[in-house]
Amino acid sequence: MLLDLLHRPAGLRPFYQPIFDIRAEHPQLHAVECLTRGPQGTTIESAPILFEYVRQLGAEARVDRLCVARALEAIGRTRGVVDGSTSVCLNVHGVTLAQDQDFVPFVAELARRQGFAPWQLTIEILEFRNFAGDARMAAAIDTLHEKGMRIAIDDLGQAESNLRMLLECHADYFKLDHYFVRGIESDPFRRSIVAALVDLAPRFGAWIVAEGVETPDELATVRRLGVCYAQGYLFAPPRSLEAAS
Amino acid sequence: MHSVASSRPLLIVEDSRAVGLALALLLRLKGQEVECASEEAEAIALLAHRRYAGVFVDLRLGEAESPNGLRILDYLQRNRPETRAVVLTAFGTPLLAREASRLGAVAFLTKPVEDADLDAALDILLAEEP
Repeated sequence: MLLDLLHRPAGLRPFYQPIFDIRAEHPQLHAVECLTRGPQGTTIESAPILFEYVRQLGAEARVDRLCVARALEAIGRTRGVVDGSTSVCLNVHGVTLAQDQDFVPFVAELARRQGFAPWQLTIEILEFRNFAGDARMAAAIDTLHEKGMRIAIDDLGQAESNLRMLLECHADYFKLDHYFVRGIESDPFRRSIVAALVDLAPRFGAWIVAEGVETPDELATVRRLGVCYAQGYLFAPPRSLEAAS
Repeated sequence: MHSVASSRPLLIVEDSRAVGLALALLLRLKGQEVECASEEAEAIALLAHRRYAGVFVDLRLGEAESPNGLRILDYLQRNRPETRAVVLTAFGTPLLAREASRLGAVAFLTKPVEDADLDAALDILLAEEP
């Protein structure tokens, strides 16, 4: 099975995309988001197809563990990409948090071994919707906070990431989907939505991250609206660790 | 020989690597771009994110007792109704053919596939809508 390939050393390939603090004139590195691609030369090389395949098999927890381990081990080995003040964002499926009770301690231990403080880790929850109101999910979120890790709502505003998540995730970051950023400088309605979220975020104790910033105009607009953090091709595409360092 | 190739690739869903590769080779010789999947989950992941000119589906994938290829036809009918499918099978029965047809399969090829039958199936797969 293709799934077995993922366990091989080059099966899952970690990529990293920086997230910048854009409050100052010169953006400062704030965090790196860990992304994963599948085995090179296979049909599941691209991330969307890889994770659709994994979801079809119901293997999210098994693969999330592998992705997190690969990403943290690689970044831990390489000094200079992430220092003591930079955080690391890890994508995790909602089903993994709800059903794998040992997942959070597993991540905490892995991070400790690689020399990361808990606050340096941000868990970006994917596909929360099916676990809205689920007691196991609530317990996992409590455990993440108890361990000192941070939580992000990924792709806020798209189908899987809705306002209910704001109430149930107690997130530290709202990651605004690129759909709301694209062409924002010339769209007053997009600006209204982002301005409303910028107003809302501090009431939840959260910061806004603008995803998919691709042009100087988009950056200038989200910055003017009060967004603190941004990522996207304007700064850097996802890169392998070798390329990133 | 079938001479019209689509600019979109065809997807072959076949768990036997030898059969999949042979069919892919034949189709590539006809100028058709091809991708291969060997598992149901892999095929559905590909169909969810890419558009294909048509799909060849083996009805029995892996060690499954049931003809799990029917689930791929069902997925296509629900999510990609514009994508036509041809069924591949070594053990066709009239009942199975009827079920595949109900799920939108436009042709039924028995393995080993003859070149003339493959051409005829390609014509049906890639034909313009009337």
